[in-house]
Amino acid sequence: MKMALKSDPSKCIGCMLCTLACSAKHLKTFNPEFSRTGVVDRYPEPGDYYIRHCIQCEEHPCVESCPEEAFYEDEKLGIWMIDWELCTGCGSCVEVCPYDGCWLSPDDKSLKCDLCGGDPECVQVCPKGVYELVKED
Amino acid sequence: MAVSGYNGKVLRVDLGKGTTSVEPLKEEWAEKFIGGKGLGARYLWDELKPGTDPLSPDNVLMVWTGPLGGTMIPLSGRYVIITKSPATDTFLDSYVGGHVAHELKWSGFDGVIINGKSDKPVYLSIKDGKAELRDASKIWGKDIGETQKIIREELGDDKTRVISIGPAGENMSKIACIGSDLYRQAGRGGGGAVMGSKNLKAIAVRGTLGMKVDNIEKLVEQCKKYYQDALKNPDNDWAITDGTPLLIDASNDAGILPTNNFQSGVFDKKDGMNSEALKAKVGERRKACLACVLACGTFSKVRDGPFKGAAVEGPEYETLGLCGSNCGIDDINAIVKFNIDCDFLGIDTISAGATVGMAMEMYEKGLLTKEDTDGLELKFGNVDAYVKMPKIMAYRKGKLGELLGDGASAAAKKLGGDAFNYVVQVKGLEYPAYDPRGTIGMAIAYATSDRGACHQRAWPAASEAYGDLDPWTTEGKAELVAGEQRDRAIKYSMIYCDFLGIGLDGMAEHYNAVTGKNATQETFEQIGKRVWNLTRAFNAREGFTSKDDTLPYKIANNPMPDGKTKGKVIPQADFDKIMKEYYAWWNWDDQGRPTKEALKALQLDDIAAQLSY
Repeated sequence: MKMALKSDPSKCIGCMLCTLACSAKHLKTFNPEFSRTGVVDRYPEPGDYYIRHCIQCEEHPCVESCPEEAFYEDEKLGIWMIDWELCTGCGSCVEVCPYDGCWLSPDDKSLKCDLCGGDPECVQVCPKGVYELVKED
Repeated sequence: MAVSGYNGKVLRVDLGKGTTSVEPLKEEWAEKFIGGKGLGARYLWDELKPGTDPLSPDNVLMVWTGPLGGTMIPLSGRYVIITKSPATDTFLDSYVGGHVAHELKWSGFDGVIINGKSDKPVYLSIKDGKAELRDASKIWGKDIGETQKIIREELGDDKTRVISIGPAGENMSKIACIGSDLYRQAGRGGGGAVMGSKNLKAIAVRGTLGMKVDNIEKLVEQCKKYYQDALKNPDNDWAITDGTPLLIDASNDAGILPTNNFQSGVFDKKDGMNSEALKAKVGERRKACLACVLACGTFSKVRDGPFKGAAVEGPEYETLGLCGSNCGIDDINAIVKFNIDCDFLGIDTISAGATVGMAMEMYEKGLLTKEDTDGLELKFGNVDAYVKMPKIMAYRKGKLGELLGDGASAAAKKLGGDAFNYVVQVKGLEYPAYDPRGTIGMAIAYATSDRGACHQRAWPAASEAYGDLDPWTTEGKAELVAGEQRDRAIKYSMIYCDFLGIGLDGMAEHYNAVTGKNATQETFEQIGKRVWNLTRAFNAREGFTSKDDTLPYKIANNPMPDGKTKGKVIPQADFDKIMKEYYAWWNWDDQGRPTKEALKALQLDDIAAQLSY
């Protein structure tokens, strides 16, 4: 089993509930700075929303780039996770990600989608169905 | 440790000295007045001496949030600007959606109090519990769009949220708004002029501290359920599919759509500027404020013709009504252009449309000549003249700009004679887009609103013009208006959006989830009454009485020519009858002022003690 988060920014209305729910889940605080999905409103040009998050790509250069070997594979979900005990916030994973899928929190930890254990909060709260959990056998 | 839901900190800025400092939130007041409107009004009471000139350094400009800001509570993405209004000389509270409310909470503050006047243009930059005043000489003169762009570049952070004024605010126009997140405004009452008078160009807000609440798991579950219910509730369909422009057709049917400066309630060309036209010709996508699932906003862009490329979030119903039908304009492209020019130059669209409409009627009737208009053929429906008006007003260009730069009420005052018969206003604030001749309760709502003619403090049009209540009977209308004002006073202290359908019990439930307290419906009813009495007492302290709660000449004297309201006026005697009942409902004196007993019953003893009538 392999799971990943997919999003369609054309449906986004910019309510940012995904980022609030994500941070509430992971940090017990409402704070988009610690969200593992990011929404940026771009107005007046191009007049849209830009959404970024880890797409659990095949090539996962982040894993290889990490000097601390902080990444580990979660077999249940089939994705790579980060051990924050080991992460030093060096930013190497951020630099090599071709999808703008991870970034550093204000307290210098790499933020990468962990699919909330298989039932992502963003999928649950989004009023427009922007997010979708994709499963492959 | 602050009460959950609050940061417990207020930022104080002294522009005269160029200093900023942090002080603790007065928790006793937060308990008694909750936040937003109530808390801000209580602070303003102490901060401001009676009789202060609103455009003098002694006026105070405040930004307040409520206990919901920064959380996931539905439709809580609003903050309020509170000051003394230069348009009305009354208390002024003006609410704004978008993203600033949450950002301010995440920056570690509950509110900002700004005193004094800077000797040169500055902007205030707030981030994570700290603040500084920065030089704004390079952005002085820029419009609101440019200002945000430059400030974000200068601070090197494109997540910075910007509140700012445009040239109209710099020129201290009494109809100057405060822009926020590009397309949202603290529109009414001239807050922009107060910022301009203080040489304060902008407030930049950035917060990465987040917001903790009492029981986050429970709150998230409550919110998820709400979102699902809200999306399934047909009462919310209007917001999801159309937004406020849907009201154009409804108002036209009810005969209350301001047309040609309130000369009619029916616009025969409304199909050019109603919601269908907007969606077909300029609508691009739906937009929501932070923490809202309804997304009533429309991002619009003109696709062809002379205004190609003009883009705005809107136009909203009030803008379509005042800047469309009220000016005889049915060209949706031109309305978008007018709307974005007002937004970026920093003028309130309601007052702007009312002002242009008034000037058009005066021009057509010969009260203004071509000499007065600097050669403009200022007739209803003339797009060429119409689209020039935002610049003329914002920059006070020429004779016409000098006359109209402070809005319709100020212009009528300058003109004298019977000019006031042409402006539809209360206390100097121009009417929004619901003509009371088809909803008598709105005449009372406008007359008794604490900031001059406002449709938000109570909105009886919902049941009178669009619902089942008789729109012309006086029966039960005092209670209808007063009850709504009480409920909205608490709603605006929590700071919810108007469009959240929620009762006092539901509000108390949210409040308890955030703060861990045990408020009830009764607690909130009491606080709503307290807050509405406090703002009324503020205005009474400034010398306002029942004689200022007026019915405009046109509404009382000019029968509607057409449609469902044909032949209707609001008879002064009907108005007076409801007003008498209204003052009695509130237990105010015969001059419409809160009695000391009424104030004491609401635990406002300290306020009562300072009143001299």
